[in-house]
Amino acid sequence: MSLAAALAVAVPCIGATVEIKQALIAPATAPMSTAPVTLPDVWDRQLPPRLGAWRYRVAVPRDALAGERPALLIPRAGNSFEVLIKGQSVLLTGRRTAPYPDYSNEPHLVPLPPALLTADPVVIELDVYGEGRRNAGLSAIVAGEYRELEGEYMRERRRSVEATWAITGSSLLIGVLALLVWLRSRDRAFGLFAISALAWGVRTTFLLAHEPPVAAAVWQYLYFVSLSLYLCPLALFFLEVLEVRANRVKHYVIWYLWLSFPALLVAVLVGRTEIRMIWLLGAILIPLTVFVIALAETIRRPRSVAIVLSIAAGTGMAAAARDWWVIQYSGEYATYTYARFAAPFFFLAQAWILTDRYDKAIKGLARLNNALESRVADREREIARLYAEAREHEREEAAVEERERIMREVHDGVGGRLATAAVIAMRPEVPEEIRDAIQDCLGELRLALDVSSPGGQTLNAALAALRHRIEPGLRAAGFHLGWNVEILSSEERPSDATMLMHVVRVVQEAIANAVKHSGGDRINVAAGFRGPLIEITVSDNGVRSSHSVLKNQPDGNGRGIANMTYRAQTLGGEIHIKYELTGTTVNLTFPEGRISTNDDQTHAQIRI
Amino acid sequence: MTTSVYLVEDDPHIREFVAAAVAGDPGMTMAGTAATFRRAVSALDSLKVNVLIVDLGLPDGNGIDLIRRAYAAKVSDWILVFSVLGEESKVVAAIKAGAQGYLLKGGPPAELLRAIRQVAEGHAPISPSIARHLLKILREPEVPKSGALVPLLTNREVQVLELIAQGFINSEIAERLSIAPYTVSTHVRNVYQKLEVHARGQAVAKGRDLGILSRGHP
Repeated sequence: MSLAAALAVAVPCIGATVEIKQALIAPATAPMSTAPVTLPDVWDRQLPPRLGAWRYRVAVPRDALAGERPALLIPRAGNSFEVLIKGQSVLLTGRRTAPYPDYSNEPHLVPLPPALLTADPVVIELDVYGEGRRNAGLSAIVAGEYRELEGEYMRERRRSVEATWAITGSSLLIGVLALLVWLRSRDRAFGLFAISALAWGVRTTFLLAHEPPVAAAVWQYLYFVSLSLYLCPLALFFLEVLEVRANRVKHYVIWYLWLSFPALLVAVLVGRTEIRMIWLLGAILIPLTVFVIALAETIRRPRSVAIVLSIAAGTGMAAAARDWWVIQYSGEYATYTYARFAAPFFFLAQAWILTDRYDKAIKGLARLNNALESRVADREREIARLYAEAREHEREEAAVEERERIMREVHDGVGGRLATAAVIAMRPEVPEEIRDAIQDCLGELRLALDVSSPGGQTLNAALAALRHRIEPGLRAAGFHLGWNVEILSSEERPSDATMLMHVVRVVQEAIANAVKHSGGDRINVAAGFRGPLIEITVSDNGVRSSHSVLKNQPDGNGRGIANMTYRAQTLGGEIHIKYELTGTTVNLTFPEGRISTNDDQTHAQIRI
Repeated sequence: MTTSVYLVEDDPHIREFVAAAVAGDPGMTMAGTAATFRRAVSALDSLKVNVLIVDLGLPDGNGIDLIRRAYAAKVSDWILVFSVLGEESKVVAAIKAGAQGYLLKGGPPAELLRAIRQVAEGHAPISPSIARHLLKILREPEVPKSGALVPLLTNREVQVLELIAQGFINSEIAERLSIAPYTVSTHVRNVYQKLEVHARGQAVAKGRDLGILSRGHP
């Protein structure tokens, strides 16, 4: 078939450029056996697949190349290829000998030397060198002015080369980041994601590398395996993050991953595409299942993590499905695969999860800190309280100890000597006054020590002690003491010893006055509450002079009464004395709170 | 029948005074005196009296130890502490060691003799502050190994001690509780006994804990 005939209907005009979709093709080994072919011509899809070196011949209308800088835009060709016009090589990309470097994943803009473009149509030969299963072929090509084609070329280049580099870079970066997170936190999810991202980063470099850095078979094996290393950890990462059990799915994924290594090795070694196809079918199950699980989780428990993962998985699935359809059925060749661009969605999902966990960790820390702070504050308060209690206790103990020490001193020193003196004073030659004075001293000492007994004294106990000490003397003097003392104080609330002593002294003085001046034989002590006041009454049945009764004044000099009045005032109370013909009544009232202990008065207790 | 009295007291004036007072009472005899702890201990071996009076402040030993030994050796029917002030801590310590009461030093002879006579008749000397102290230390029930709470004092004993602590005398307490005055003393005596048994029990338990006494041979 002549070239002109073959190209007769294949020259649609796009402005100043011409897209060429028709060509004649012949194997390099038999250049004369040409056959028409429609571009794009995808080698792997031919039966049998094209291999080795093939020459395409295209005819370009002279008008399309009549500008200042004529050029040819080849969106995709390769693996390697050479452009020739009139037998002269215009451009050689790659190598003419196998293994061919792969330049098929990027567009090419080829300036054409105007000196060679004299014929009309211009016949351009494209020698394409390719190998099986390496996406060899030739896309439709566009001829025109360099300026016109440059924009399209740059767009194509950005999509297929620069965007892919961006994906590779970000995959490796995110992979390393996830790896670092895993190393620190040992969180399995990040470990899995690290493997997956790194595998994807490596896999995308296959699209960009022209010359395999290792033997072709090894290169191919690594390319195949990288898919398993990308897909399986990613699936496990999804399941881990979604916190679903799905043990069967997990087992399938793990088995699939481990079996990938030997199975794909066999596929490469024996060169059978069927094994790889089966393998790819098995791989499809994985994202499909994970997508379904993520979707189900989103519906069951709509959480941000599940939603993000569903979107990511869905996007990946859609991209993979689109690529599958394009490669298998569309006949497109020049287009690039979308699957590589699904990776950023996964990165986004991972970033989301990382942020989510970081946020949770920070909030958890804040909660922990708050709890700790409040516990520390509680503990500090508790310690302060215990410290205050301990100090108070120490002070009380010190007071008790001091009192005991004084009592011991008084007992062993003064008490012992007084007892001896009292015994000596029993001798008939000793004047009675001395004997009485010593007895009084002894009695006073006993009373004082009783009222300031260790552990604190109560009003009842102090009055009881008074009675106990004076009862024998009263009885000896022929007096009967009546006792009507209500319960005035609680054992739990000891009273201030100094104040108690005032009360006791008033009662003692009143009783002493009754003994000295009343002339009666009965003394009655009554004590009880009158409202908020404590009232203590000492009455006798003595007969007073009419003078006392009329003037309501004592028979004696009244010094004892002045004393009682002073003590009553100290107690914050009052004293009233009533002289009647039937006897005298001394009435002491004071507020209950006045005798209770408080912090300031604790020290007073040791003053006896 | 006369009451025999033995006195342990370091002050010679008081020894003489007590000896003279006892000698002046036809119902009593002075069985002897000791001025030091050592002499008292050596006398315990052969001593057998009705009333043993011990001053706690001996120059060469602790009067409480002496009471404990005398109580264990059963040398007397009654052991009394000879005290100037009758302060509760010393009296209670002496009762725990086996004493049945206390005598006050420095009183006239009649008071001393009356006190000895009363003790010999079964009265138990007590003061409001001692009663209060006893209530504090004996009121809490103790928990034996079986786990049941055992009150150390009966309700009546608590009532008696409470009234004494409020300053009521035996006759008034008897009237309030509708019992005989002597019964008030009986209650007090029982409390003293419990105090001694309680103290001994604690000592035995402590001995067991320390491995001094083997179990089954208290």
